[in-house]
Amino acid sequence: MLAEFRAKRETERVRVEAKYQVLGFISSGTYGRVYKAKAKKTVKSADGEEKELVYAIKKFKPDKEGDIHTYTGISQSACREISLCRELRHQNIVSLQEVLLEDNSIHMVFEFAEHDFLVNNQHERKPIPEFTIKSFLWQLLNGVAYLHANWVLHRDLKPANILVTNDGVVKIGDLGLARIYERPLQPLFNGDKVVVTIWYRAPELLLGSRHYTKAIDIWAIGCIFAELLTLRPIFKGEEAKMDNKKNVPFQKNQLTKIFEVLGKPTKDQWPTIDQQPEYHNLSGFRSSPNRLHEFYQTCSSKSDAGYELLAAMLGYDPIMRITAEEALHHPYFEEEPTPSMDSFEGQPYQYPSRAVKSEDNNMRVPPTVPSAVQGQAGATHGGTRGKHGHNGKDEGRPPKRRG
Amino acid sequence: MAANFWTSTHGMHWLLSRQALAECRKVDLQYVKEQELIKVNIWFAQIITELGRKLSVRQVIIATAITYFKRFYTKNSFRNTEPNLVAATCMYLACKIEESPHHIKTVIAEMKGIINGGSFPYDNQKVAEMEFYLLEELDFNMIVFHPYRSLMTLAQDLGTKNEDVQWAWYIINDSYRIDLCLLYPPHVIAAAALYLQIALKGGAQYGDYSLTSTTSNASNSGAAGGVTTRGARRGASNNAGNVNETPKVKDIRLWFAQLNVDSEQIIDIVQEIISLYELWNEYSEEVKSNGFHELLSRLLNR
Repeated sequence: MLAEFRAKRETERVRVEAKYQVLGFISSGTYGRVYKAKAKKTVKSADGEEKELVYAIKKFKPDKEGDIHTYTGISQSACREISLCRELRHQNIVSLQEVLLEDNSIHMVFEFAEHDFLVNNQHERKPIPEFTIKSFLWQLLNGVAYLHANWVLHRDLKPANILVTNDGVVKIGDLGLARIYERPLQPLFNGDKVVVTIWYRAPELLLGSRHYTKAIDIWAIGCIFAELLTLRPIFKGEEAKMDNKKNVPFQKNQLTKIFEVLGKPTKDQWPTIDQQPEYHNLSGFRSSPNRLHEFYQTCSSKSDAGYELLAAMLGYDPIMRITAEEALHHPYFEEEPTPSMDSFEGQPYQYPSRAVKSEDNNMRVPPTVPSAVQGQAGATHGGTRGKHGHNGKDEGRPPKRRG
Repeated sequence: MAANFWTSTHGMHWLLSRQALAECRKVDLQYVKEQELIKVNIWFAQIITELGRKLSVRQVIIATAITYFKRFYTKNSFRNTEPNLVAATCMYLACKIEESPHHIKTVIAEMKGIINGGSFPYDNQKVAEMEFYLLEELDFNMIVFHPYRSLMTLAQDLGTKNEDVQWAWYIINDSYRIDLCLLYPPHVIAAAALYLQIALKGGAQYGDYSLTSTTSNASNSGAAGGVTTRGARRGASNNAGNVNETPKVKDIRLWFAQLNVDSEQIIDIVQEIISLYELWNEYSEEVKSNGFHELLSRLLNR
């Protein structure tokens, strides 16, 4: 009976390589690999020209159980990402073209974006024009406001996950950790003990909060904004490793980095701070002044409104932290230069593209030097199964989110 | 999406017409009659519910699993597939999507317990493979809306007492035995369940509860006649104590009129549920007398 059904399905199934030609390898992570590909069928544009359509294909690795390759269905991470991508539709969220199944692997076909927020900061480190930074930030907030209006938390915002098309349109990618938080059946903490890559992780998460909110995404955006301004992560801490009993360790070093810039939080700034599970650990820190303004003065931007917006996104109390919707209406975006949906509009400056390794264009075999480009383009998948260690001295490349 | 039903894949792609649904069932209807096919659907909804109870999952997860199952069978026939395998796979996927994952082995073990080992000869690989097929048939649309949330909102607005809401909740659970989740938006099903609960209770405190003068008799007498129902049976014991209470409730007819839902749809749903309860009694008898299993063998040809 099943044989008949299977035969019917298999004949209908489209082979990935029948439809797409792989152009090269983009990035890899614990979840699998991302390739650049073009559709074999071209389309005719309005002016009659043949147009090639380019995509990013994310190929998930089948789950492993110990050393045996027993396939137990699609991973929680793929499940989340596919289900959310199917529902979401927004200019600033990367759009999912289709999903194909082949060789026990899920292939998600996304629209392709040439750039991301990381590549410049990692390699060239050319200061980004204020117009471009502001347009990036506004569009990022615009996409996140849409996610939040739909009760979706992203939970892994960081430069590598924010893509930009050739037309300067920001596309938020990698929804593998995202989830709906409206009246969840389980507390958010129960599903994933650790969320958000350490450098972008909000203080309430670092202090063990179980019932966090969309404010965690705003903190990450604050960190990203600072990084666009200075081309360096603002809070570049080292992640304390999880012990064998899977207890979540106290992230002392990361908090130290935050306190160096923002000062040790006071009860005035964050009235419920003493209710945080890890509050007792704060007694070891000396109180320190807030130096965010000094920090900002070293940036390329001289806008006071820009400073105020940054400070509002990096507010300690999650309840008081600015929301995405409020941030979109912040005076910073009304000042010249005002943001545009084309972040590169009229800019002489050439923003660098993501690397595509064309010698690695076989999806069936691992790329030759996968580690060289890790950290780009949504490479932190794997939720609670992350195995990759991280080298804190590795300049510019953010560590993997571990759990 | 999550905030707006009408822009969700559920609202855009998974509300079918009755004609479309009838078209989907042509193959199976060669072997069984329409009423019999409803009984088959009750049977598998029961299996999924039972599996959900064994796994101690929330009602919403059971509802999602049954919805997947029903969506799968809008594109396939029972005759040419393995419904027990599909049922277990639907539960496995529903647990994942609702963020309460269970190990594939656990789901299989519980399923074997429910339908005597022999009729569930599937292992991890088979269920995992089926999951792929299921995802394709669902067109990867996995987020499902349910009437439960709307029910709570509506009941709060109407001023319904908790035990009454509980009763409407049971009616919604029962509604997954039939095709309502493929035909109507969840908030309309919720409104209908609330209406039915009020009608069944003869809720004098809500004022005149007939929606329209022409149909009121039909639905009232139908309701009164069909009180031997699942939901109703459970709710009946709650009734006695409440008679003298006069909670602040709105005039029910006025309230439904303001709801901005099509009252004809509500009446259709109410009547479907009442027919379900009548058919369900017949079905229960046939399960006991083995008549149902002959029917199932005839359909599945094994």
